[in-house]
Amino acid sequence: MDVTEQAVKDFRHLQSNLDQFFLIIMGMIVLLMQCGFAFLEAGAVRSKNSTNILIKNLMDQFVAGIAYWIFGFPFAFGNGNDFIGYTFWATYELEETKLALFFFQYVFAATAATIVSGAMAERCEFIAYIVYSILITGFIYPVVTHWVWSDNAWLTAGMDYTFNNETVTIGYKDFAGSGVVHVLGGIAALVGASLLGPRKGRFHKGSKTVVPIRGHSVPLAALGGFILLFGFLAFNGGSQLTISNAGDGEAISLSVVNTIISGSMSALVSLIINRLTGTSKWSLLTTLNGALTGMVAICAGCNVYHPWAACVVGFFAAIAYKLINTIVTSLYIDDPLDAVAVHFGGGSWGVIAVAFLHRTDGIVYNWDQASGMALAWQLCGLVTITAWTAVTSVLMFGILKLTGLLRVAPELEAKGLDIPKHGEPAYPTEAYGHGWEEKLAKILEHVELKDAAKNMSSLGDGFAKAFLGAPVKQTDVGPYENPEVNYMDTHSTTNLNDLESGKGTTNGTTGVPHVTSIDVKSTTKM
Amino acid sequence: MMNLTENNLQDLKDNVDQIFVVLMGIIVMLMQAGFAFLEAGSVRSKNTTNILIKNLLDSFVAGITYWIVGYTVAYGKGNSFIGWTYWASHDLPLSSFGIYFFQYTFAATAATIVSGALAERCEFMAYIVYSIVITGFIYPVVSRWAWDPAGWLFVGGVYTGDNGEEFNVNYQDYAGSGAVHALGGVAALVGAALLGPRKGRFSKQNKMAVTLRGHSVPVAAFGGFILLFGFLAFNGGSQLDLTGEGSAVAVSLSVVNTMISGSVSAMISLLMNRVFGDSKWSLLKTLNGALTGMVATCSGCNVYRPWSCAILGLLGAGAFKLTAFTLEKLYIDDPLDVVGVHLGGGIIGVIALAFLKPEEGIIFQQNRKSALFLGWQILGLTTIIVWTAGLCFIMFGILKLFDKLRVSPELEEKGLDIPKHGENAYPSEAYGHGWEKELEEILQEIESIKGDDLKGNLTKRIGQHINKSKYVSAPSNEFPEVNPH
Repeated sequence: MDVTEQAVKDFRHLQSNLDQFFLIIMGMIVLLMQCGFAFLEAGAVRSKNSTNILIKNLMDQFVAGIAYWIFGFPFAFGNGNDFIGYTFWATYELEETKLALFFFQYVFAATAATIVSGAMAERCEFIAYIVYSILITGFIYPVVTHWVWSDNAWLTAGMDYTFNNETVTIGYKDFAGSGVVHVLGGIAALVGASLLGPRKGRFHKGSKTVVPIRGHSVPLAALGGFILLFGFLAFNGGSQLTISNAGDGEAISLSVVNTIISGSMSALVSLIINRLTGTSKWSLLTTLNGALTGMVAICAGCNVYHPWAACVVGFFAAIAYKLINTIVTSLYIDDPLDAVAVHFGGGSWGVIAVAFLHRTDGIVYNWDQASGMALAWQLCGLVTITAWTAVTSVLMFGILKLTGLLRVAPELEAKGLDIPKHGEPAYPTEAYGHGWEEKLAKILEHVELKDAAKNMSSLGDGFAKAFLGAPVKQTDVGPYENPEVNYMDTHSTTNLNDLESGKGTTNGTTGVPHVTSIDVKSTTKM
Repeated sequence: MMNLTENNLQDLKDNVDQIFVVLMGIIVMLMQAGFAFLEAGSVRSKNTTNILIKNLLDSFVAGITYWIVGYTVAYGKGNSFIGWTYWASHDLPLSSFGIYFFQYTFAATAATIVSGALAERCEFMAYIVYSIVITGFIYPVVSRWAWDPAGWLFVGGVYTGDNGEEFNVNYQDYAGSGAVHALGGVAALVGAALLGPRKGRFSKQNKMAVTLRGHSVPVAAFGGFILLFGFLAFNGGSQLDLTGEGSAVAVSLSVVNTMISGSVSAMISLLMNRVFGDSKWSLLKTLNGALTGMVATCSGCNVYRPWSCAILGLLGAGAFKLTAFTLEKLYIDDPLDVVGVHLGGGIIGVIALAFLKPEEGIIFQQNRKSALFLGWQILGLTTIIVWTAGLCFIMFGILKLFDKLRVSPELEEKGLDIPKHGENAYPSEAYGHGWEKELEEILQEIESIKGDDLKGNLTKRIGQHINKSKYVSAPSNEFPEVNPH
């Protein structure tokens, strides 16, 4: 073998290795999105249901890990007919170099399933959740994938058309799955939420009241959101599936840039829409959902838009989010995470947007029959995916509901699911507050209850004094605005030895040490 | 027109290999955060800062110790037992720095396993000492035996077959079921046994074990998610290169196998607790089960057939449950079930390889060679356990003799955050702006209760009032479960 031949052979191996690794690393980051969803949902539910929603998001990857492995992937990418595939059961006889692709598709399947848990939060039975996760990752989603991304993909293959004596093939385009993943997840969430019914106390149809049931932790939800925003870049960038061909790097980079632009635009527009028409506040959660909607909407064509078109996509994504949200709420369907608005709203706009804004074939660039037909195919894909998902979801959730397995008992819903279902309250009271009972006891010693109840400000003072310990004599009494400076219950290390040896001034009844001096340095660190 | 030469390609391959190993190492670094939060969520709020700083410092203690002496001992030139060159990476070629970094992250992982078992009662100085000894000596020596070309476990033995042909059999442990996890698990076991249980955890007279619940399931779950993500890099990255023939396949196979084993182990753990445990769908046990399954695949995820990993998941779940049960029976307090995950999973991982490795395992060929393979796996596992247990016994024993191992009972009672770190995890003065109104209503209601002993059951009362919904029977669920044995 001469040098050139060897070099070519080596080069091909390198290409293959790099392509596989690209899928693996992008897939791993998309797997982290499971964590993102988990915390977005955990922060958005009440503390009594936090463990419940966390384990449901944790289980997605494991249910998919088995169901998608054994039969989901075969249905999706096995050799078969136009409807479904039927080889590679449990990756049997799957070429080794295709394992990375299997992994990447698996994380997408897990994503489709996890969308649904948001809409069903706080009232869905655990067994029902396991059942629908198996069916979504094992059947509903893989079949759609087969139609769009497999070798038998009839939606993507489309048909040949002759316009002006030129023959073009026009089919459904969906790069990272606005339709395949997000419309599917959104519709399943919609069906599930409506069959499940709203949470108790959420709506009052008589007076047409909608009660905003707040989640227990904005920081947790925001953490989840940050992770999702990060993971989405891999979700869209990784959909290129290879890195070693000419133009791959550019396509991936374009996808990532477009995702950021669309997400940003959608976030800002959602922020403003909410300020003007919603709760009139600068809402963190709405902005976050808006950003996600923008990224969902760009999925279908992030590799083929000019960046300014990504702006347009993001703009209308925010509007779609608000629109779908309003419609869902007006139908008295309870969607705790706005999953339907984000995923169906963003996804359906995303599918349609490709026909308009595709940089070479879009209607905005060519007003002709071919682009019109392309729009028709996008709509065809959208309708097909919606119909398939709606019908299978109605069957699935309907059967669960008829057998009484869908929703938890009302007593459980009232008390919270964490303890009866999981035996693990998210924030067990006995694990907290060592030292806080002492403080609360001090409140009762120091605060005049009758007066305090009538006069808020004296309560505040009494509370501060009693709750936080006696005011501290400071050497530096600077113009601090924060009253807490006077009441820090930690102290400089010079008192450490006293505390450990049992000396030092301590409150006899509670054991909480009085601080007699504050180190100026530690104060200024605040 | 550029001539593509072998040199150009080799340069590119070298670069790719190095960035691969660095990137995987960076993700394994994130596992430090994962451990940190898993442990933080599983301890009480009074000890949260303490466990966080202990996990934070693992990276830094290892960063110095492994740099100066650990890598030397592990991968320096030397004999089959220990190495003695590259002190503080002196003379280490730059092209090996990526691998050095990756190995460092593994050392930090081995050390951080131990902190889970010693949580809530271990002295800070003792923690620093054991971290230095584990990352500087105990772990590097074992990693040399198992992974350095000169290491005696890696070299194995040469045997003569029936037909006069010579063949080699050695101890195999791709990503460290034995070298990292069993080692960490044993160190944790010895440490926890010598440290003693937390106050209130066991009552030997009544033969009871009290579940001391952690303060935040969400925080623990967050740590778990990060660990599940990082584990893929832990196993995938152990290929150590990307451009060799079949390397990417090995990486892909590692990742897929890790996911399958973790998924099966998680599902089985979930079901086992539902059927045989406390009849709940337990998040924490499921999480630990998933981790055990992933630990069990470490030894051979680069070569297993995916179906073997389903079996490993099943065995891992069983090993976890068995180990946790045994430890409780022995009155050894392991707050994070670290020993179950790492020692239980690690033992399964090492032994199972001899059965399930394609073509060489006992399932595939039953002959002298595969029997010897099992022999070498057992030999390696036993040596690792004995080496670690012996050295840890001496190390923790000396610390205990000088009374440096455990914190004083008063500190344990009040919590370690304020006296040790001056940083309350959740300082009360930083909370409650806006809560005064709720508190006002609570106080109004409390005032209306006359003649009751307010201080007793104060927490329960506050809870009831805050929650307004009448949870009648729930309060009793909020107190620790007492499981009579």
